[in-house]
Order: sequence, then C-alpha cells, then structure tokens
Amino acid sequence: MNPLLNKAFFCAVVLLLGGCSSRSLLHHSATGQQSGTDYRMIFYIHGDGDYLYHTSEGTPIQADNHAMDKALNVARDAVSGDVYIFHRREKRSFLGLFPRNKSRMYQFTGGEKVREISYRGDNDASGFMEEESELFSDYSENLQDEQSPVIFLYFGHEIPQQPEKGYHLSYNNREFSTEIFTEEIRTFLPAGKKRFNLVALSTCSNGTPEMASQLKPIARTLIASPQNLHLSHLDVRALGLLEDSPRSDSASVSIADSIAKDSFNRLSEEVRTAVTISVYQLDELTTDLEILLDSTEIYGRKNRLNHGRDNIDCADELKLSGLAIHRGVNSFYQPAQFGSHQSKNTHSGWGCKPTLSE
Amino acid sequence: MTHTLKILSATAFLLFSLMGSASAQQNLSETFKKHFNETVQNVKASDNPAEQRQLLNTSFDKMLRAVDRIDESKNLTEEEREQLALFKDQIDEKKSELNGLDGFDEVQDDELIDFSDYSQQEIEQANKTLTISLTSALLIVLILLLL
Repeated sequence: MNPLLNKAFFCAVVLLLGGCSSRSLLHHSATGQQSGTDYRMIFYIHGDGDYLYHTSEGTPIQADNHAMDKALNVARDAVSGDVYIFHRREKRSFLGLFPRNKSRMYQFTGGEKVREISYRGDNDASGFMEEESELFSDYSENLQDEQSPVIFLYFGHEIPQQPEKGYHLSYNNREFSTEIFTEEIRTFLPAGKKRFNLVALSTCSNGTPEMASQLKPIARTLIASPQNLHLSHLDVRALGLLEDSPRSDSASVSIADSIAKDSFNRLSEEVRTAVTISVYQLDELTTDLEILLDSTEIYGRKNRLNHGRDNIDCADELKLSGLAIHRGVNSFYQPAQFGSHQSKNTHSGWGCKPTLSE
Repeated sequence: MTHTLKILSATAFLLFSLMGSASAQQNLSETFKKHFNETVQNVKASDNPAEQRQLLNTSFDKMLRAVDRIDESKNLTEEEREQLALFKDQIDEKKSELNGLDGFDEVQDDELIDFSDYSQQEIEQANKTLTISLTSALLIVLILLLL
C-alpha cells in the first residue's frame, strides 16, 4: 500500500478510536497519592454555555477558564488535602464526525496533579452531572477521617428553581433545578459523611430561601449571591486557610466569611451593578428559614412570579420581622450606581423572584 | 472599505465557527456582548459627552432592532420569546435611564462612561443567557444589523 495511504488510514483509525471512547487518561502520576487528605475540595466549573465577559479595558474573558485558573491555584496550594476539579465544556466534534472529549477532570493530592482525564457525555437525556459523578465514584478514595472537612464549589449561571432544559448548551434536553442540583452533589459526599462543611455557589440569584432549604440537609454553610453576581466569580484564595487548621470543623465558617468578604471587596471596586453576597449558617436558620420559606410560597401562590427576571430583596416583598430575615445570615451589599434600585441602602441577604407586574 | 471588511470577516468567522460546533445559540448571546463591548470602548475613547450619548443611543437602538427582527421569526418557542422580551426590557430600561425617560433622571454628562460600564456589566452578568435556536442565515442578518 502507498505509504501516504498507510499514514492516512492510521490517522483515521486513531481519530475513530479516540472518538469512540468517552474518556481519555491524559496524565497519571503515582506521586503525591500517599500525602495528606486532611480535607477535600470539589470544584464543578460549568463552561457549556455563554460565559463571555469583558474587562473595563475591553479585554474578552471566558469566565469558566478564569474560574479554572483560580481552582488550579487552590489545588496546587492544598498540600494537606485532595482536590477534584471538573470543567464541563461545550461538546465538539472533529469534521462533524468524531466527537472530542473537551471536558476535563483534574485530581490533585498533596498539591500535586495525580490524574487528568478528558471526557464527554454521550446521552442527552442523562442526569445533569452524571459523567462527573461517575468519574468521581471511579477515582475518589474514602477519607481517612469522616470528620475531615469537605467543600463543594459550583461556578456557573443561576441554578433554576424549577426544572428547566437548556442549561448545558450541548445537552439541552438535560433538566436542571435546585432539587436536581442538591440530589446530584449529594453523590460527591464521601462514605460516612452526611453533610458538606461548605457549599459555595458562584452563580447569580441562588441566595434564596428555596436553595437554603434544599441544601440544609447536606450542607452546614452556604455562600451564594441573592441577586446578580458578576461573571468574574467568587474569590476563593481564602480556601488556603484550611492549611492552617486542616481538620478544624470551624475553619469552614471563617473561610466562608473570608471568601465572601474578599469577593465583595474586589467586586465593589470593579463593578457598578449591585453586589450582594451572603453567608448562610444553615443550622442557625431553623424555624426562621421555615417561616421565610412559607412566606415565599404563600407569596408565590398569591402572585404570578416572573422566574426569568433578576431577583429582588425578599424583605421588599414579604412583611416579616427582622429576626426571621437576618438570623444566621451574614450579608455583604453595595447598591448599583445606576438603575431603579440605586437608592436602596440595605439588603436582607435573601433573594426572591419578582412578580410579573414588576 | 473598512465596513465591507468588517462584514466579510464577521460572516467568515460566523460560518467557520458554525461548522465547528453548530452553536448558533452561543453566538447570538456573544454577538450582542461583542457589539456592546465595542460601543463601550468607543464611548471611553471619546471626550465629547454628546458623542458618547449618541454612541450609546445608537447601540441600544441597533440591539432593539435586532431583537425585533428575531421576534419576527415564526419558529420561536414561547420560552424563547420570553427570553427575548426580558432582554428587550433590559435594553429599553437602559435607554430610558440614559435619556431621563419613564421616571428616571437623565444620566449626567460626566457619568456617561460609568453608565456605559454599568450597562455592559448588567448585560454580561445576566442571570441567564439567550439560548435561542436561530438559523445561520438569521444570525448573519443580525450581525449585519449590529454593524
């Protein structure tokens, strides 16, 4: 056979085989695997959608890549812990024929990368995080100590309250909702561990009574934005504080406050829209959360809510005592420089959907 | 000449990117963002408030015309029309504030650059993106409307 044809045939076979497998091991190293696992962090970075934003100088940034840089920096500094990073990216194919594994999983142990896997989904009707959950199940190990802190961080657009399709641009038949999110991240809890020490949502409009209520059984502390959050996302350098007291249960609480404060300080300098970031101590909310949730449900039944619009402050809609609104919530807020809410000087820290008339 | 080049390069870029991923939805959202980024940079490059205001008004009008053109498409679902309506409301509100309409105080001349940043950040941090399935032909029409 002609040598050129030989090469072409070989290339075609490689492409075909590469396209057949929905996972490829790109890197594996045994070093670092025996190092400490005093804590665990799991990053899920959603990039299968439009995440373009521009800096004040006009430089285009892909928010998911920017979040990846932050996650990788945290992972390299986590010398006492293990870190899993999932970067969900748009489905692509070569010449429209051979699907490519564009999404990535990184596993770091003791600050060193021990595994990198490229992957893709094949089924448009699977669970929202099905591939990531399977990868995690295949490659994660049990924690030596069930008391070790476990933190889950999600970077993406607003997680819809009601089931909606179209969140993954490439798999737009997959439904996503607050309830689906809660059920799926539960699969990332190690055996014997019932709750995450901290769940951080770097998304718009998920600091809501509904999200807090859903997460309460599986998380102790939640960071989320009740209203819009700029695509430059939360600052997570404070996760490095886990190195000072890796096994401390209370470290997650102070880390959550530091993440919220760092993010607020940067965003309030850079952004002219409203900045709202809240830390919710979910155990402290108890009956107050139930009152708040009941009130939002009654309000939702009486009024037609506009689920497509930006959240508003729950305190502006619901007539509740300050106690029910503020206990267990540490809120950072700066009003927008323009717009109809620029003179609003306080925020309850809770976001609610507006009515259709607003 | 520059205008023709822009049209040709935008069309070529669009066709090329559609061949790779067929993600017209993403391109629609990004098309608006790229257009408005250009507007904001032009506003910042100008030191004439009248020109800055004009640039913003022209850009808002172009985006509103583009939205109207998409809305004429018969294939849109109810959900897609809702997304479009929300996006249009957002642009309408910015235009009203810029010009002191609908209960807003007019944006002062020395605040136009800040207002352009604010408008861009509002558009780019929208809680949901425009996930509307458009034909490539319609997307090209939209890009031409925004030029």
